[in-house]
Amino acid sequence: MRCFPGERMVTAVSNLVLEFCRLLVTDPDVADRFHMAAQELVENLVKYSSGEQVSLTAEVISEGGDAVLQLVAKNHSTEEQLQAVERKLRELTSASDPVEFYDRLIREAAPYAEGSGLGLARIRAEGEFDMDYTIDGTELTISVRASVHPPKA
Amino acid sequence: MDMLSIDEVNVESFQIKAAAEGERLNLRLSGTGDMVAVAHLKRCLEQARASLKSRIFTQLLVDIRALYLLNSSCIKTMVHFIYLNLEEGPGVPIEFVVDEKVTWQPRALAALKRLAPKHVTITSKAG
Repeated sequence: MRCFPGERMVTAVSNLVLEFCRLLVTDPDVADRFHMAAQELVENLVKYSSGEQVSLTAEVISEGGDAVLQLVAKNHSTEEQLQAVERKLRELTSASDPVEFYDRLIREAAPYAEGSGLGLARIRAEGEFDMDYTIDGTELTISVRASVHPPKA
Repeated sequence: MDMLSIDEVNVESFQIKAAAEGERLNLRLSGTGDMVAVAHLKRCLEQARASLKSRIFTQLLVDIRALYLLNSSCIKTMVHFIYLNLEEGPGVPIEFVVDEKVTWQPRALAALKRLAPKHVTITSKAG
């Protein structure tokens, strides 16, 4: 799905992902985890995009005989924003304990009324997803994925 | 603003209802806790904190059973509220009520319990 980065689109897009997942997986808990991840990814797209369009792809791919459900978020950002997000993503994806990392961010953010900065860490800690990212020029791509069990046809 | 000094929130996608039950303040959240909801939740919790600080209430219950989604900005707003409750008072116990059949709800709030294990409890009830 490709659209303008508008606040009004966020929940509509994450709800579409939820419905998509419900068709593809037997466990409603897995669909809820992807719903949360989609919400956080699309909110990030809206908050940090400097381009006119952003995109979110939800797809099932086959990997070594396993079905893997994957969300891929793409947006363009300024160099300054990309440097900041790369620092965060490098730290996040290399953290050996995602829950401990998320809890640390929460403790650090707790005294401040504004800002969050918790969304991506939440995806790893609470969603238990694998996460990857690439930066190509001004384009940031973040992907999250998990093995799923599609319903039998 | 009603007698509880807490404004009811009733926008299209998000609602908060406040009610007194003895010395306990109950907040019932429903709808979608997304980017639209954050400012409303923040204002409500500021008003709730003022009521709690005035010692009108000694406990807070936050019922999220009717919530469809809770984003990280809403969680962060709750984190800040819990931080202020602990650091600046009044240090009241906070009970979150989740739907026993909705697995994402306790999972989303688990970080709040880890932040303040002595003050935050999570209770599962029928939706």
